[in-house]
Amino acid sequence: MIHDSDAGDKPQQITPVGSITEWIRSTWAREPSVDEHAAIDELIPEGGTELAEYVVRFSFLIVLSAAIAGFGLLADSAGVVIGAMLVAPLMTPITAVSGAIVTARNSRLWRSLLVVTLGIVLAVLVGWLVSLIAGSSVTDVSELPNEVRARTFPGLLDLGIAVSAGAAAGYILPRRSTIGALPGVGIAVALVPPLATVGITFELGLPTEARNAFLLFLTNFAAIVFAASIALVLTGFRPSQYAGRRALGIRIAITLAVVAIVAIPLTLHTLSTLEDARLRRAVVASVESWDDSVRILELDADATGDRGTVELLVVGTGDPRPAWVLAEGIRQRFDGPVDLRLRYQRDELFSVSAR
Amino acid sequence: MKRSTASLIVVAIAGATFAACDSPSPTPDRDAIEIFGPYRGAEADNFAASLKGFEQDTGIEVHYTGSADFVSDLQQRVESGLDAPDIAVVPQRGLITDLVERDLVVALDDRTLTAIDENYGGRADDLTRGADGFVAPYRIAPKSLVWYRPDVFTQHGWEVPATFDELVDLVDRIGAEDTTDAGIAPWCFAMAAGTATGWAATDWVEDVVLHQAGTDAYDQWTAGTLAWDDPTIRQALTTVDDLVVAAGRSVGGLRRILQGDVTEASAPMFADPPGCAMYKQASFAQSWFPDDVVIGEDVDFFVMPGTDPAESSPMIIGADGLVQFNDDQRVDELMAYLVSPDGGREWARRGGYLSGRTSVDLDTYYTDTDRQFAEVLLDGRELRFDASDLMPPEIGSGLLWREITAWVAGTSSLDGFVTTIDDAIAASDTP
Repeated sequence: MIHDSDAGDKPQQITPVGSITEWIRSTWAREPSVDEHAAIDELIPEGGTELAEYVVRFSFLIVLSAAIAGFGLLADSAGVVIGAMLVAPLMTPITAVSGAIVTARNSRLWRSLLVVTLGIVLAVLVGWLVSLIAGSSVTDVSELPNEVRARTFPGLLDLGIAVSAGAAAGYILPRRSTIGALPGVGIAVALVPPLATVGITFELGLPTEARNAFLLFLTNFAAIVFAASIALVLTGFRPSQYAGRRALGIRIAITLAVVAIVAIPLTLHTLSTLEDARLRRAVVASVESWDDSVRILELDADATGDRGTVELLVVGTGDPRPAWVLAEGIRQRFDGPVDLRLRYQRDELFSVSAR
Repeated sequence: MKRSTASLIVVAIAGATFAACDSPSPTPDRDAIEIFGPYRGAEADNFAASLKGFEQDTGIEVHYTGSADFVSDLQQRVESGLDAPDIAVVPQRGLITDLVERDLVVALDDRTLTAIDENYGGRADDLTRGADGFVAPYRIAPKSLVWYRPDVFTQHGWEVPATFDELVDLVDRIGAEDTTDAGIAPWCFAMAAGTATGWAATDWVEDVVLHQAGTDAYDQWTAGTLAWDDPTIRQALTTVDDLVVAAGRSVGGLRRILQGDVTEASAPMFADPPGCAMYKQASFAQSWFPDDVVIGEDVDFFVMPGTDPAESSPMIIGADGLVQFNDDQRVDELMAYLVSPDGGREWARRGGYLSGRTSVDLDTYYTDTDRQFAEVLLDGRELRFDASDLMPPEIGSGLLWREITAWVAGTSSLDGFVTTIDDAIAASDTP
């Protein structure tokens, strides 16, 4: 009895683990508010004049943003390219895709995907035109501006950025109070600049670079859709209001499959970048033990397969030590065959007084 | 799908972790055998691939390093006495005899000598001459080849010459047609090759000495008993001038001879209409031909003919020999392996490798293209080393190239040219 009475008087004790479990349960069971539903539903109008007006507005902004991005990329100006990201309207239909996925509404899904496709076509086309007008100075991959080149070799880091930014978009969109953070998402995960890069590199006759830039866009697109969908599910959006729960699983699985597919080339790119970095470290360490009085001016290290190709320009004050010694040092550290092309510049100081 | 993504991420993280570790600091592998040579890029790959069999059979690691400055690098390594490799692949026979004379290489082990006898038979003497007991043959390249297009020869009614005189007549005939007919010059010839400009012209002189004056004169000349100033050699130089350098003999004239890149010399032969009828160059010229050219169909070759139509004409070869700097049992073992067919098998399979081995089956050992060269190399004709490779490197791979270029350009006289070379050879012979 005493025990019973004690139990009745004291508030119920919840362990930390229990409180977390309880929070998760309540979050999972959470129903989005009417306002949150409206925020997602209003991303793209349902139809009629409103939809037509939206499409015109969207196309206009895409063309302008791709033009800004295209010129900014060719001018090698990071600031201008960021400006283009802020103008770009692509994030809206892409998050609308996520909204349609988690609520399992197919007509909305197709409508959003069509708008995204329209955006892709317009942005690539504008990039192509911009390159036709302003890209004549570039005749070779090595002459590509850094801003363009940076978008032609996506890796797993880009996937990580896109997943995080996508989750942020999924969190922000239904909560109108946090909408001010949305431009940050657009900057973090650029959508229009990669598409403009596709158009530019295609016009310059660089199909591999164009394919890689499109891979970057696809990565961003798939990762945003996936991460935003998860974030929306956690916010409480469910297909139950509209269709069966099973539909959600299938749709998320398809999105995840697309992410996994783009992750394959990204992983290969990343591994290749890591191998390049390992070769660079081997070269730097070898140069140091070869002749610690020389300085590296230029180093281009490319590890393909198990082979290293190194272009090196060093400057030193004395006669160069034999190049084969350096090549053997790199081979030992890199632990693979190495082709080295070494240029050695003599650094000579002449001090003269004329009176 | 989740599992596949997870595994990809694991792979990526594992890769990142692995790469984040510092590069292993090099601990010189004292047990590995070091080979030094001139092969770089794809040739280095092919040579290294040929060493794999030895590494797998014995468990001994072999490292190969190839340098563009091979001659000076090797001299520096050997003379310092500290850095000498265990084995070197040397194309310059003059350098090998110099190393032997200065007692810088070790005598070959009995096993290697036996392997040479077994695999090279009667060819062994030709290929080890001047350094017998110290050099093992490894790779050879036929040099006295004249390339032509069978369709162009047929169209003009030209025939492959059987003697050197017939070759001179053919050149005269094509040269005569040049002024009246389709504008086809007898030869494609260009010699620009950066600091090595001149080597293509020395090859021409060597071939004319061998095929016009014969093997005895060639041997005396390379041995130094026949001077450049001798009437025989002077006649050969005059013949080169008349046959190739004179106006109307080579497509593009003297300007193209001097300024055209040696690797692009044959391009007019493949043009439509062709700019030249013939192109004299070694077997390695095939790598400079357009990609779609099939040897034996689109383009063929004959060995530069000699004086006697009844005999196979002699041939100049480039020959890479192996010398040993370390008297070590494992190195002996590797030398014997390199002499055996296995030592070149993988490279031969990949193409671009020929040897004087008589122990291999030409049909299975070589590629279809290489077999055509192997057949003319091994048909019993006399083989001679490239004369400039036999000279001390500072003359044969330096002074001679510069002087012959000046003579071809007309900036130095025949007298001045031969005197300069004779004086340099005399000076190098004086201790």
